[in-house]
Order: sequence, then C-alpha cells, then structure tokens
Amino acid sequence: MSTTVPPSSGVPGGSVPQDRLRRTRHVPGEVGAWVFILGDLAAFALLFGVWMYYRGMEPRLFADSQAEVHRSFGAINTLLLLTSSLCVVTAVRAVRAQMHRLAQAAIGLALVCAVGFLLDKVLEWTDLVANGHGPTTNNYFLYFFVLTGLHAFHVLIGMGILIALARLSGKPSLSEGQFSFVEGGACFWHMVDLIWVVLFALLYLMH
Amino acid sequence: MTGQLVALLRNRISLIWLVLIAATLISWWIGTGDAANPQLGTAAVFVVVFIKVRLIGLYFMELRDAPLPLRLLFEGYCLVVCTTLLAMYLTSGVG
Amino acid sequence: MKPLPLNTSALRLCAWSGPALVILFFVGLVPLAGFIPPPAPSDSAELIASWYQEHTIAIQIGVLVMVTGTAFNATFGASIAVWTRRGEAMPVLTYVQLICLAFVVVDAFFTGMVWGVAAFRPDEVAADTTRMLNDLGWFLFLFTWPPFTVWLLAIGLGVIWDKSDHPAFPRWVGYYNFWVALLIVPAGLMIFFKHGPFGFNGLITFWMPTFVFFTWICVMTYMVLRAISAEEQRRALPAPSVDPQPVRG
Repeated sequence: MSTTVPPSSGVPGGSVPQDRLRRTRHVPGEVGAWVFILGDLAAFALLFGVWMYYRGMEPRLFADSQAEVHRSFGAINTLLLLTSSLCVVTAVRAVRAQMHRLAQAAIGLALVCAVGFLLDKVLEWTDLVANGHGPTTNNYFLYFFVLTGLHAFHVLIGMGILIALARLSGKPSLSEGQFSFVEGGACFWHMVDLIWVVLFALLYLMH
Repeated sequence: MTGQLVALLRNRISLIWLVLIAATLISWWIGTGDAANPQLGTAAVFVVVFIKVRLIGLYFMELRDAPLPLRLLFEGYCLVVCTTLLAMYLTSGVG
Repeated sequence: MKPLPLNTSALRLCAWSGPALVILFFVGLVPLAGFIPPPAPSDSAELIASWYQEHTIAIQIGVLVMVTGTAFNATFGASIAVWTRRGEAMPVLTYVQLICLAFVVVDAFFTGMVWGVAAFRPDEVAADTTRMLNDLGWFLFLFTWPPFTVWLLAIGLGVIWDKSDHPAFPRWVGYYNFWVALLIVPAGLMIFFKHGPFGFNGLITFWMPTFVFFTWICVMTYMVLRAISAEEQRRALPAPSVDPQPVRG
C-alpha cells in the first residue's frame, strides 16, 4: 500500500492538494501516524492503570502526598498545552489556506508554550525536591516523577516535530507526503496535550 | 497578518478551546472539592476528563472528519480507559 | 551482461530466522531455564543463589538453547536491511542498522553467556557473586535498549523515506517501527528500581518492551516475506518492449 502521488499535488504556482479543502472523510495525516499515536496512547493507558493500581494499594498515602503538590503548577501546564494545541490547529489551517507566515508564527507560539511547560515543570520539580519530596520519598512521588518525566520526554520529541513543521509550513507548496506529515505531526502534539490532561486529573485532582 | 489570524480564529475550534480552558480553570479553582463526598467529586473529575479528551481528539485532531473505523478506535479507547480507571478507583480504598 | 537473478532462497532463509530466534529464546528462557517470569530484583542473594543451585542443569540447557538463537539476530536484521538498502541512494540508514545489529548479536549472546557463567558452578561461589551475575544478565537484556531503539528508528526512517518506484514496505511499517523503538525506552528505568513496574521484572520495564519487541520480529518477518514475494512477481513480469503497441483485441 504505497502512497501514490495524486495529480493534484505539487501543482505549480503553489497549492495544497485539493481533497484537503473539501470536507470529505480523510485520515488526519496518514494511517501509519495513527499506528504510532494509538500505540503510544495504549502504552500510556497501561501507565494510567499502573498509577491507579498502586494508588489503590495506598489510598491514604496518595491522598496525603497529593496535598503536598501545588495544583497551580499542573493547572498552568494544562493551560499552556491547551493553548499550544490551539496554536498548532491554527497553524495547520493556515497552511491549508496558504498563509505561510501565519502558520510559522503560530507554531512559534506553540513552541514558546512548550518551553513554558518545561520551565514550569523544572520549577515544580525543584520546588518539590527542595521540600523533601523526591522520587524516592514514597510511591506517590515515585510514580508522579516517573509519569511526568515520561510525558516530558514526549514533549521534547513533540518540540522536535514542531520545529520540523515550522520549516515545512514555510514552503510555498507542499507535496501530499509533506502535508500528511504536517497533519500527523500536529496530531502527535495534540496527543501530548491529551495525555497531560489525563495526568493532570490523575496526579493532581482526584481524591 | 492580523486579519488572517482573526479570520482563522473565528471558528468553532476556538470555542472548543475556551471550553477546555474553562474546565481547567474550574477544576483549578474548586480545589480539594467536596470533602463530604470525595467519590462523587472524583467521579465528576473523571467524566470531565473524558469529555476534554474527546474534545481534543474530535476537534483538534480532526477525528470528526476521519473515517469511521479510526474514529471508533479513538472513541473506544476513551471509553475503555475512562471506565477502567473509574472502576479501579471505585473498587479501591477510600482516599 | 545479464543481471543476476534474485536469490529468494537466501532472502527467505534469513527472514525465517526471525521466528527461529523467537522460538529458541522462548524455549530456552521459559520452560527450560525458567528466566521468564524474571526473578525479582529485590530477592536476596541467598534466594537467587539457591535457585541457580536447584535448577543448574535446566538453566544450563536453557541458556545453551537461547544463545544458539542469538546469531539469528544478524540474519534477521540483514533480511530487513536489504530492503531499506534499496530505497536509499547512499545507504546511511542501512549502515546504521547493520552496525547496531552487530551490537545486538553480541549483547544477546553475552546475556545468555553471563547467565551461563552464573549457572556454571553456583555451589562453589558466594551467593552475592551469583546474584551479581544474574543482575548483569538482566542489565544486558534490558538496559542495552539504545542500540535497539536506534536500529528500529533507522528501519522506520528507511521505510518512510523510501522514494523508490516500488517501496518494499507500506508506510505504516515505518511508524510501527517508531512505536516499538519508543516502547523499548522504558527498559532503561530498570537501573533505578528493585520493586514494582519499573524493576527488571516489572510491567513497564520488562513485560511491555519484551512483548512488543518479540511480536515485532514476527510482524516484520511477515512483511519481509511479503516484500520478497512482491519482488519475485515484479521480476517475473515481461519487461516492457522498447516500442509498446497497444494490444487491440
């Protein structure tokens, strides 16, 4: 099932493949990207289950430890990622509408939000450790640091993808494959946002 | 460019984003919530998260316009994860 | 000069070495040596030593069976690299695969060998020594994830960036390789933990990466065999004539 290049792509003068402009059912990005995204979501589902399992074994400990964590750090991170996702959505729509500078600016803003996320995370971690709550303190903090750490790793990968998207969105015309990568990369970023939304609830909100 | 930006933002997506922001702000403000019935509060948190996740998937990831099998896979994922985590919560000890 | 015919026998032999590897590892490690499920990293030295002492022969046989399969990493990896080679003008990604594969073969072999040494004379060495050798084997099995991840990333990129007329693999195979490459990464967490899901017997650090990797071998075997058949059929078609005339029936 190799990707054949449809005649509408690479039209001289710069344009976007026509079927992207019609509201037909299409796979955002490409099928392969969803193998990766759904697969990664499945792995995180396992991690969510691990969290709930160990929380279930020591509910009092988890509740007490959660009170030591500042919800503000988590909430700010959620707001930052949600905003970055809006930027990315806007960027993809800008690429479709041939608004290249706007697309790059939007991705730039998304990257700023991502850096903000990581800064906030570092602040939060150093604050926790300074107050004697490190990954070795107890099970709550162990899973807290491991889960947020694995998520932060995904944020880093996502930032790399966003940088690639910023470069691509500056091009006057994109091939079918390149546009698929833009959509697929955007979906990866939304996945990173989605995972954090769940983590925020599991780590900071539930009791 | 500002005109272009405004044109792009006047879209349902921005409304979805506002809803997501509002939901986050509310959960931030509510704090530890109703101490009298933590299970109800947490169940509500789960439901809200489920809605947020679906909104991100359907609108940001554009799965609303995706072929049905892909959309069903995503919806199925949300449903299975939400119910499993909720069940694990309800069958665990009280926090 | 006529081009050489395709040696599908060599290609197929190498592809099938993948399942052979899985079978040898499984048979060696599970029913024979009993290494899966893994012993707990939190087990005392005495417990580990006594396990080696009580099951010495079974472990020795199991380890021998396992190491017999390790060279098949080379043949199996080559059966994939030969296809990504075709999609590259300058085969850097293929080179990366082959270099990582060299490590994978050594690593797989040393894993078995270290466990073999632990089972060589467990009655005559201190329990601590036996446990450290056991630990070393698990480090070789799991902590060595980076070359595996880079190997799979190189395959994935080779598939995605294949611009040839007849790519060997559909594009989703590339993404699948990216996914497996990512899910192997948590194996590195084993250095920090002696209990729970991130220990070397844990759900996230052992079970998930191992399951995902060995199923990957089976999936890729299938895709490689498909690629071989497709290439065979493609070469069996008559070459287009210089001045094609449309056939009117």
